[in-house]
Amino acid sequence: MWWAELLNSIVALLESGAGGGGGAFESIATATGTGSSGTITFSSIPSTYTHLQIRALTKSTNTAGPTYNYFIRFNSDTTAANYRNHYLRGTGSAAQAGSFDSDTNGFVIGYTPVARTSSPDLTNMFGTNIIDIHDYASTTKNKTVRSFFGTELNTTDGNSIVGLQSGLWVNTAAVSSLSLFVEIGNWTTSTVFSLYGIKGA
Amino acid sequence: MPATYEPIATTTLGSATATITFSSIPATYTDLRFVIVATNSAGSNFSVRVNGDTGNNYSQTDLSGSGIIAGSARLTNFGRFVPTATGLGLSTTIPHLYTGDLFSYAGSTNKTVLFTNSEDENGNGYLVRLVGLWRNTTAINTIALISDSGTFNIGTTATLYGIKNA
Repeated sequence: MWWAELLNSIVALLESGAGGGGGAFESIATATGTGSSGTITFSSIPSTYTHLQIRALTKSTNTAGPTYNYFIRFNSDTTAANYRNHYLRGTGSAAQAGSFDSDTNGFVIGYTPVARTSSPDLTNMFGTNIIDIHDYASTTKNKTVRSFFGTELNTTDGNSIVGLQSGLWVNTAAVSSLSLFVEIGNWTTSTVFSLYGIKGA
Repeated sequence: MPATYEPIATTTLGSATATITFSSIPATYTDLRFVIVATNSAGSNFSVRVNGDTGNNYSQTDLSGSGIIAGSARLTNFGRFVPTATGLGLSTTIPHLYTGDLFSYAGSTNKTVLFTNSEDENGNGYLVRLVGLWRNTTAINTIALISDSGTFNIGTTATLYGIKNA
């Protein structure tokens, strides 16, 4: 029936290009912290893109800190040996390079400040991150991840930090879910992770 | 409703100027990104200011590599962001590339920015990554790219993009 075909076409148009806009760079989903959980998860990630990007603004509810690591885990994989990563970072006085031990939480992908209000007062200060996950939907490649992160606190104590992380998830499964865990505390309600899909030609 | 990633404004200089300004920035996006490819008549650094703020409300931490050594430095309670490498700055003839990602620029918190800096002059150069903080909870509606001395040369290109989440 012509009207059924028309309705099907309209529904298909509405369901295409999840989130906003069209083109090669599309928003997939946005997740905010609840204040009562240290985990944020994106699940049921469509396999229709070439790469993924996460843009993050983060803070832990902990009040000690002043900064903590946070991790990324793929497909609920808790096998520590499947995660490898290296970093290059600057503290304002020294450039540092190294790697983190394998962890059941995944690998360290960034740093976040805490909800501390004195010595130093970190009110309204956040960590930022741009995380790129390449060829996430491939079923023949291990997954490579890159992050560019920074937390600036206007202090001279070395807790402001900017850096680059590279990570490897030793698994050829397509990434269908990913979780971000803060090392200590919970994600504040002002924490936002935005997931984007990048299409190839 | 804006697209997820779209240009807001772009300029390619037809005449030299000391300052490139993006103004009346709409508050409808989540993040902003500016990209500038530039040369400068005096080979100087350039600075970034937002909303015309000339107060000491800026700070930054950087990570740099010169091809010889890696280093890190900071500026606290400063009057601007300085994305150019301290040891080099802009060239009079070789274009350098800089980007700035301004997160939650229209929100009600202090503003954090990630800068990239790519300065290669075939035998001399710097690669720098910076995080900056503008201690002001006002929405950003203006971004100024300011030559510390001299002018941005003709042909310098700067574009501002808006990025919108779901």
